Amino acid sequence: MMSDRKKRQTINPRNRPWNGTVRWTLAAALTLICALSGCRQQRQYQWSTGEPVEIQDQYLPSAPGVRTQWGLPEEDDTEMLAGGWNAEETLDAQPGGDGATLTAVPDDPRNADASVDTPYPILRAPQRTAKRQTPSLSPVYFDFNSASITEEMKPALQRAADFFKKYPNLQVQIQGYADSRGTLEYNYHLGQQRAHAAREFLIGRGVNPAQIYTISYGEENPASLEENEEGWALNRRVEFFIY
Amino acid sequence: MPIARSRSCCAALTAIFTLAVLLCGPAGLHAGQTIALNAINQNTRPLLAQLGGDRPIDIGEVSAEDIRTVYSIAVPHAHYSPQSTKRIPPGSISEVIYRDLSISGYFKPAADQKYVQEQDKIDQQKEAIEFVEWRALKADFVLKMQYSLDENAIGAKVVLYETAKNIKIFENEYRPRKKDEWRTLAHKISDDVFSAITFKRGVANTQLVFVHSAEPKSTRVKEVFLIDADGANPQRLTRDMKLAATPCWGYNNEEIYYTSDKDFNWDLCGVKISGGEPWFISRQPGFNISPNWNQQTQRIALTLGKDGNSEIYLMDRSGKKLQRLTRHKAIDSSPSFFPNGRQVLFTSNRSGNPQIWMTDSDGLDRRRITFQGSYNDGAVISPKGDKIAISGRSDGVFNIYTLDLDGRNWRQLTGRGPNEGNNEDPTWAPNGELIAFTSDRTGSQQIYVMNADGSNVTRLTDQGANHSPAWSPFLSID
Repeated sequence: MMSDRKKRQTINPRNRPWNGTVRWTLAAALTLICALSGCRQQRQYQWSTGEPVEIQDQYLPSAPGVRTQWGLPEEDDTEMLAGGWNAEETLDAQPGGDGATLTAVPDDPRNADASVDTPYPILRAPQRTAKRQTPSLSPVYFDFNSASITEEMKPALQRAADFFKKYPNLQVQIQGYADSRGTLEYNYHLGQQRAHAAREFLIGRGVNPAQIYTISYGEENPASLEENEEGWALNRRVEFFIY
Repeated sequence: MPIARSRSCCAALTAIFTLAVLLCGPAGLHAGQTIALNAINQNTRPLLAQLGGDRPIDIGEVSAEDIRTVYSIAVPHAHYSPQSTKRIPPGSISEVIYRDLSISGYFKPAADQKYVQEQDKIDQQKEAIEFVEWRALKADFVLKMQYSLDENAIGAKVVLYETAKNIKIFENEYRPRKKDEWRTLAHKISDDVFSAITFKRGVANTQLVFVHSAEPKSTRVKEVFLIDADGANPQRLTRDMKLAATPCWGYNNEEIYYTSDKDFNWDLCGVKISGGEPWFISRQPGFNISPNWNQQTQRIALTLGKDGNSEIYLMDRSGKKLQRLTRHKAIDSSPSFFPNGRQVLFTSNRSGNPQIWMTDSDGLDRRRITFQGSYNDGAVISPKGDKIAISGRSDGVFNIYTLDLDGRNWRQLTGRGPNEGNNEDPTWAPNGELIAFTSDRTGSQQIYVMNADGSNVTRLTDQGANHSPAWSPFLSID
């Protein structure tokens, strides 16, 4: 967010005198980078095949339709270069349409940046209502329009983590919620981000990922119907339910 | 061999250096920047916006309605032939036509219906239409109708006159249809009158789906409902007795796709307009939400949560083929196809707060569209593909705005008057003339429709709470 702005600032043409030394230095640096990366690739080729490789090949796109990364800001890690509909992931629906699962997704090198996905598979919740909220686990409240875990939330989350580590057979559902300020649709996702942040925290503190399910109800099922700061603060929450 | 290699290496380095010099020039950097910053004329954009920051929503001076002619029309009650005792209440078809035409944004009733009826009676006695008198009633157009009505069927003959020119401009005979379809007949007449005068296609015979809950607040049951474009004829499509969300029109306008938590997960379901049991389309763990169907490419764009956070995917209608469009740790949500299915608008908070972005449907060429306001969501593109409608927050209140594809030319459609509450979920009528939306101005969420310039607001729903409307494409109703 802030770093996003800062980075944009540094590459904003209106902030820089583009003539003179800066320009040439940057050009030289870019050349060096290109050359180095080229050389490295070249060596890899040689090591793997033992054959000399034409240098020009390094600068051609690896496949038709794949774009080179020129000029893209580094933080824009969103390039989804999976080769369109043909490189689709195929789902195997099991008989009865129950629990469609992903078959192995071909490991496309252009998909390399998968770090944004959680390393712990998201689980489909058991088909029953998670009812009992354990008295020792109080809701954890979030800041407005935020899903980040702050220091104040950590004691409550730690208590939850200790609890679930103590009872490894318990299955927990973390329900994420948002206050009513915001669009219904986006609030669903905000609630999910909150539940997910709590989940990642618990996993980080040693809770078995297979124990934890998440669901978001967004601004539905509010804890408080009050449309004021107090009410909203009560609604920006995650709650722990036990199956 | 080593010499040859170093020589070609040298040549390559020189080439790169030249390229780098070009790239680092202002023009080159500009070209690189446009990928992130959209094709915006940078000279005219305030600096903050260029940096990716959000400035307050700035509407400029546009607030007046489009300059449009609003025609006045007189629709006398129909005459029945032959006289039948099993009448549809007199005037009901005229009322529907009046309402259709006034929702359309181009018409208003000419005069009090009492005077229209009187003049119609005089016309009948004289067996002629008195254009002078109709002009005196300030009627630009007069629609005369005669129904043929028997036990089971209703047909109609209509003639439309333009009083300024003393001429008949449209005339049609409608085939008899079942009597309980008299509203469809009325909508057909409305659309024909609308086309004959404005040369545009009418939407009186289209429908909207939306989410309905019986109680305004704090409910655990929401179902998908269907209404006609004039708010009449509500039909319940689902009986899941759980929460439903984000309905959209699907394959051939025969199916509705929506999201339900009936199986303890937000699954994508389908249900036929004609009725029947809903079926599951996508049951990925986590969200399967915000579907948007494109008939041309036969794809559903939707948000999936299976990767740990919300990402945009394309899916076929069996739910078995997937293509991922976004890959970012931020929320990516609410996808909406361009009419040709080649681009997708979506909401992302990757800049720190929710803003509208677009991407090609191959996942490339991603760029940010909105740089105003701190919270924009629910983007939908007009049927012509030239305007985007969004709901954006300003001063703590959500309102509907329209803007151009390059993120400029913002226009505030709702909330220009006092006490208009929060206005969200815009959806375009298939002719691009109207926008339906959700507003809580009366205390509960209800569906409203307005002209695409924000004027002429009509309320469509009044029972319980209703939100997330999705307007159908043109429906082929014979």
